[in-house]
Parts: sequence; structure tokens; C-alpha cells
Amino acid sequence: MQLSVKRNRTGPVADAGRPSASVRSGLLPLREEISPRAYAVASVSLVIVTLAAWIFVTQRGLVDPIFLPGPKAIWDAAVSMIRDGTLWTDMVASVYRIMVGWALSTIAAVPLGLLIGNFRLFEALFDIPIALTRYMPVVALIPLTILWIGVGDTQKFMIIFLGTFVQEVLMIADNVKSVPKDMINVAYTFGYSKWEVLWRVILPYSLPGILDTFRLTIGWAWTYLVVAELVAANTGLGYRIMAAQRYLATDVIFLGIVIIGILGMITDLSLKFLYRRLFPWMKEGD
Amino acid sequence: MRPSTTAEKQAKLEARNLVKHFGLAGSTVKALDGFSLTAMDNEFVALVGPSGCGKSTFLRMVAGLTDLEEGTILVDGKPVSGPGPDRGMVFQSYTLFPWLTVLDNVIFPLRKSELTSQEREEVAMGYLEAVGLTDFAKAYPAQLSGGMRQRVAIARAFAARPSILLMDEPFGALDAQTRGMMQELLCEVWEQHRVTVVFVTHDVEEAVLLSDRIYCMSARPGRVKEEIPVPMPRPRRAGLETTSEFIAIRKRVMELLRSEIEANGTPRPS
Repeated sequence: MQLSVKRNRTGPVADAGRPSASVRSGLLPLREEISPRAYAVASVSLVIVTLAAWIFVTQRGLVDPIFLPGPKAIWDAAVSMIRDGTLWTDMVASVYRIMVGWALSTIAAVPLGLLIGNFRLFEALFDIPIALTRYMPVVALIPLTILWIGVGDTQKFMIIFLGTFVQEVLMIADNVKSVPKDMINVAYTFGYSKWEVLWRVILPYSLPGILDTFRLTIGWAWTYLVVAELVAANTGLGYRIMAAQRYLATDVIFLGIVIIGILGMITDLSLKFLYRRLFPWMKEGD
Repeated sequence: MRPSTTAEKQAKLEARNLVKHFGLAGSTVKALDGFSLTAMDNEFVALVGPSGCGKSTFLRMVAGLTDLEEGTILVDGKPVSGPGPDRGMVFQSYTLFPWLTVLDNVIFPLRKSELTSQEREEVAMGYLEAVGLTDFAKAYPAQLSGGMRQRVAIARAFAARPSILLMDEPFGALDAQTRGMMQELLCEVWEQHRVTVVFVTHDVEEAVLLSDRIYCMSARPGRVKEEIPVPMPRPRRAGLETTSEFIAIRKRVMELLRSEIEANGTPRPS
């Protein structure tokens, strides 16, 4: 789900300093490009092999469908859930919770990360609180959040927030700190004030890193949401998986997992697309 | 370019008896001790010395990026306090803004001026022309070679129209051929757009080639050991390196440097 953004797209980009053909040849050149065709074939082959093995094993009845249903069963489950509207309801419920929970975390984390990354005073101020809370397992807080605010959407927002916020703050602070000191100094020598430097140098420089942080934290938000829904909810994909388990409806469990995978992939791909659109200047960077 | 009514007698930059310590691996090191230097209006001054002698520290103090401890730095007779657009700086590391095109990088310092956006673009294009990069105006820094990036950095520094230009080993990271080209280019640009330059380098040949005067520094703690005038005519062009005058000056500077390094053992890197 989280492939690196910075990888060159298939095919060589920079020709300078390429090693001799003997080093590049074959399918496993060390840290070198392979042919676009080999890349394309490799990128789908694992998926195809897995699907084929799955179909083979289930068609032949080698595994009890209660443990591993076939593609047909999952497809049927999808069709019936689309017909009665539950798939849509669950997806909307989960996506809504993710969006709000992650947005709340981000709205709070960006300014705080900027402050901590730019001003020593804020770094000092939050040093101990962050160190205390950053490794706290959020899952352990689920009972407490239910006790406080029940099992509604607000509790889901809270779990997502608690799971992502602290790490997101630290990552944004790091993104901000990556600006080279002399790049800041050069702006000072042009007569820019510290606030102008913050706005015109530090922010634009760290924006790609911040978007990368968003990509990672949305991934975590999914994890925490599903955990929260597994424990207590009456809609959502996590809830659907949990409910299906009670009736041994393994096909619905798999459907839920597949849907979560697909939604995660769509999020990731759209953020990568946005990244390329917003930061054309990152291309051919070293 | 600039009105020269005050003539050459006016000292543009005057540093007197600077002292500076800094922490290095847990202990305090005296970087500068009684350092004094003068640069006249529109003079090109080079500062050479063993590594770690405080050359860069001095430039940063003039730029207002490092605080003074003792002594004074006067620019046009006024003490320096903090960075300002009258003192531009070119760094050895690449400091172009990667999200801006080459043209926008050169426009960046001009945004603080009164010019209209069209005038800014014209001025910036003029400086890009001086460094031979008009064809790359729309390119991003990541698409340029190291030498080209430093050319843009120089164009940007000139575009800011500082009255003193501080250059901290700007060609230090470049290969020998590119460096030679950059030296010629800087010579040309400077002869067109005169400005007071303080140029820090450890390359003796570069110092002789570019400057009107060379300040040789002692090893740490740094102070000026000797001041060597470079009275060679301008414009200076390729071939200068083979004249007997050039060779004599280079020899003198090298001897001074060598005696400093030998007297102090191998200095730690700065």
C-alpha cells in the first residue's frame, strides 16, 4: 500500500554515469533500472500467481470454504450486499470516520509540528509530553473512550486522532527541520524577515515531505478505524467483518478485507498523483 | 555603475580586532583573534588561509548571520547588526530554492524591491544573460548541473544589488574544469557589475586570478598574517596564469600558507 513515491517511473531517466552493460544486464542489476516490460510483468505476476493458487485450491475443494471461500462466493456476497445497500452504508460510514478523524488529527498536527520544528521553545515545551505518549498503545484506550463518549462516530474520531496525532506532529516537525540552514540564511541576506522566511522558504520546501506524511498517516487511520469498529460499532467495514465472524460468513469477512485494501490503494494512488501534480520540481532530483 | 564621488579612499568594509570563540567537540576554540580587514569600495578582496582558520566565520559575521564577540565591523561606517540586503552571500552548498524556476530564483530577492513584476523579470533575465543561462529560465534547479546551479546563485546574488558581496568558497564543490569556467565568468560579471567582494577560498590560484588584494590568514586562531596586493590589469582573461607576475604572487601566497600549515601541524577541518 505504501510504495515509495520517489522511485523513478519505469525506464532510465538520467543517462549520466551509467555503468557498463555488463553490470546492467540480466534481471537483477544491482540498483539499476530493468526494462519497462520486465518491470510491468513483475509488477502483476505475484498478484496473478496468488489469484491462480486461490482459485485452484478452492475449486478443487482442498480447503473448507468456512476457512477460505472461493472468489465466486466473495463475488456473490458482494452482489447481495450491494443489492441490500449494506456495502454502501458500511463504506460510507468507514470513509466518513476516516476523513473526519484524520482531518481533526491533521488540523491539529500541522500547526503544532510547524511550531515544534521551527522554534526550540516549543520543542522543549512538548518534549516530555510527546516522549510519554508516543508509544502508548491506542488500542488499550478503546475501553476508556467507550466509557467516556460511547460507541458513536465521535469515539471513532477519537481513536483515529489518538492513534495518529502524536506521530504526525513529530513527522511534520521533521519535515520542517529538513530545510538546509544556508537556504534560510540566504533568504535573510535578501532582507526577508523571519516570518517571511517561514512562509516563503520553510513552508514550500517542506511541503512534499508533509504530503508524504499525510499519505502515511491516512494509512494508520485505516488501521485504527477498523480496530475501533471491530470492538464496538453498528455500521462500518470493521463492524461488518466482526458481525460476519459470528455467523461464520467467511465470504463477507474476505469481502470486507478486500474492500479496505482497495479503498486504501485508491487513497494512496490519488495522493501520489497529487504529489506529482503539485511538485513537478521534485523530478530528477538527487 | 555606482556613483564614485566618494572615490576609492572610502573603506566599504572595515573589520577591527575581531575575536570569536566557538564550541568544538565539548571544548571552546578560539576561531578569530585580533582579526582586522579592510575592503575598499568596489574592491575584490580574497581571503585565503588554512582550513579551520575562521574565514567562513568572518564572512558570516559580516553577513550578520553570526554574532560578534569583540571588535567591530563597519559597513559604510555603520556597525553591522543582523543580516540585511546590503550584504549578499553566495554559499558553497547549493542554496537555490528547488520549488522555484531558475528565473523565479533570481526574481526572489527582487520581490523586496519597488519594481513592478514585469521590471523584476527583465532585471532577472539580464542577470541570467550575464551568466549565460537565459535558455534555462524555466527549468527547475534539480534539472541543472552543479556548475549551472552556482551560476544561478551568482546571478541571484548580483540581482539583489548588495553593496558587499560575500562569497564563501562558491566553487569549492565543483570539478576543476567547471571551476575554471566559473572563475572567468565571475570575473566578467564582476567587471560589468562592480561591487565590493570578499571572496573566501583555499584555492590560491583562484584568489590571485580574481582579486585586487589577498589577505593571508594564520592558522587558528585566525588573524591576518599578510596583505598582498594583486596589481594586475583588468579585464583579466585566460592565459593570465602563465605570466611571470601571476606566478610570483602565487608563489608568495603559497609560501605564506605553507609556513602556516607546517607551523601548526595538520589543522582540523572547519
